[in-house]
Amino acid sequence: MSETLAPPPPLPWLEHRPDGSPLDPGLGGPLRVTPPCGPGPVIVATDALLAHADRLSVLHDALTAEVLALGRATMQNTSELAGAPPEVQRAMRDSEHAVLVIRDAAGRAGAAEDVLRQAIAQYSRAEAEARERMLGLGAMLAQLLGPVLRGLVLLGVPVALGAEAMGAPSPAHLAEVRRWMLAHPEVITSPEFVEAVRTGVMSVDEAAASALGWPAGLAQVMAAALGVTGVGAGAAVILAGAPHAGLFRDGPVFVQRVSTSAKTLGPQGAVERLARVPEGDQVRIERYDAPGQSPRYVVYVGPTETFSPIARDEPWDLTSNVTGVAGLDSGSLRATEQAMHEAGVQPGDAVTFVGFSQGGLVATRLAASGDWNAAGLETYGAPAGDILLPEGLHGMAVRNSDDFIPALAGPQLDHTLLQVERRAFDPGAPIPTDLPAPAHQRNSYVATATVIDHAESAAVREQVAALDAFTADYTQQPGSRVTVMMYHAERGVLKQLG
Amino acid sequence: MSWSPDRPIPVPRTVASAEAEGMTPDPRALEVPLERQLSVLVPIAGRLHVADAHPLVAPHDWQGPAAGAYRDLEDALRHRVRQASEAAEAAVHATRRALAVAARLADLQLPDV
Repeated sequence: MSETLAPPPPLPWLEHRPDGSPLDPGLGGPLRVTPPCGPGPVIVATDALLAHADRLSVLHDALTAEVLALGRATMQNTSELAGAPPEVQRAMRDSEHAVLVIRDAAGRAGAAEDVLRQAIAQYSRAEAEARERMLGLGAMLAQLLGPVLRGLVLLGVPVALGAEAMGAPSPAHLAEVRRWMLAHPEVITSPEFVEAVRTGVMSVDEAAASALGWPAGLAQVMAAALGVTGVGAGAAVILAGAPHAGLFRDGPVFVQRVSTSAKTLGPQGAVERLARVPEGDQVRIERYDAPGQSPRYVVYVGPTETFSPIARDEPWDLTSNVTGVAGLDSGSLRATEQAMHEAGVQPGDAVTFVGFSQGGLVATRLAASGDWNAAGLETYGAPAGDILLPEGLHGMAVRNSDDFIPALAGPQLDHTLLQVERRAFDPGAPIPTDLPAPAHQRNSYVATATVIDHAESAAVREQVAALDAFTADYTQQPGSRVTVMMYHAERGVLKQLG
Repeated sequence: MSWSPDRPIPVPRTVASAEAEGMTPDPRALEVPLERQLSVLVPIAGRLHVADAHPLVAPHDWQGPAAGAYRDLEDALRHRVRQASEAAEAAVHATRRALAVAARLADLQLPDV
């Protein structure tokens, strides 16, 4: 009798695409990797180039080891075989010659590795300088735009008042924006657009100051004096003004555990971890128990559920995005912490945070907070590059370089965590037109995670292995247990009361 | 002059000259260090052969002046690894020939044992 297997249930992220097909990783580019470097120079290179440098290093070490082994044997024999017959003498000479030639090859391998790493460093410096110039140019343009903005503000006040009266922004306007974005995916799905966004958000405070008639540079000085800089300053300005127009009004959140189940294994690889990031119910917490050891937790935080700027029941909304980018405690962040408390996470328990999009922002904020014993962090498409992380975290921050959402956090400031970038759609690749911001969609990040799981460089492989080991160390022990807790959060005082 | 299996090995002269110079009077004493050398050389030659057969090649999508300069280095490295492989292989053959000579010398001196 032949056995018929039922088809596997569809994976949650596939529901994003009408045809249900995952994105072909072949549409995108190579991985660009920035290994953790702390305060040292920032290195950016493709995974393949770093892997090549790793192989040169291995070759150099192997050849050096051969030189030592053969040199030791040859030297010992030289004393023992002095005056031996010519054939034996020749064997000795050939062996000594081999030592010299292998030593030369080892030197060449070492020199090639040095040159390659120097080239990588030079490229990285040039890229950083270009980015700095772009930011300076953006600030200058923002200053020049000030008078224009003043005019727009004068026009905008009555428009804003009218919009508030009508319950702005209107669904029709939002639908129009969505239609335009769908019709022109190539405009927003490019590294150039991403860099423009990155530069633009860094200049929001300068533009606002210019509109107020302040001299150039004063906004930065004042923001720094208040402890907010860059993107956070811009987001704080928005949050200060927008609630008056009915936008971005945050409030208390209510969290409830909606299910508890058991598993036997933890995720292995980036694709499996990303697949466990929830949607709908926004937080998933996995507790790992092994006999005689403190529990470990993996906290998965979901992406933005709604992009409406008007705060309603859903805490994973635009309000939480802007609040989070401003460095304030967003509803989604507070909800995740409430879920962690409910799950029994103690301050000393080791936690790995995994998040996608807004979930990545929340995960990064929690890992950086110092309130939890963060052991690992893995984020996808998170606008969190301006959050400084503690040293010693395993994991990586993954961004598609043609996804503008991470650029909303401005330039990458943290360099303690491995940074992995990849273009989701190489030039000429067909860009989907069924969803806005295709490079930010989950299936685009699944494609990138697939490439990460096949990465060759030690920089990436070591971090994937460390994240795998965080759960596998426990699940491989007899008597281990995995408990999965799903949480749903809503915003609102009434919800909180009961 | 290279060794050939057809060429007679000049055992008596070598032993005589060695004994005359007061060096290595016992040919069997040659075998232990030569075998030790061979046991080190053979795996090294094997690994170098593999390294020579699978040279490291930088990613093709790396372009520009630095990439061009690096590729010259890569060619030089490939050449040196090949030379190292050939040198190790030659040392293996030479050591095996030396062992054969030592064995014949030992056979010739067997009655003295």
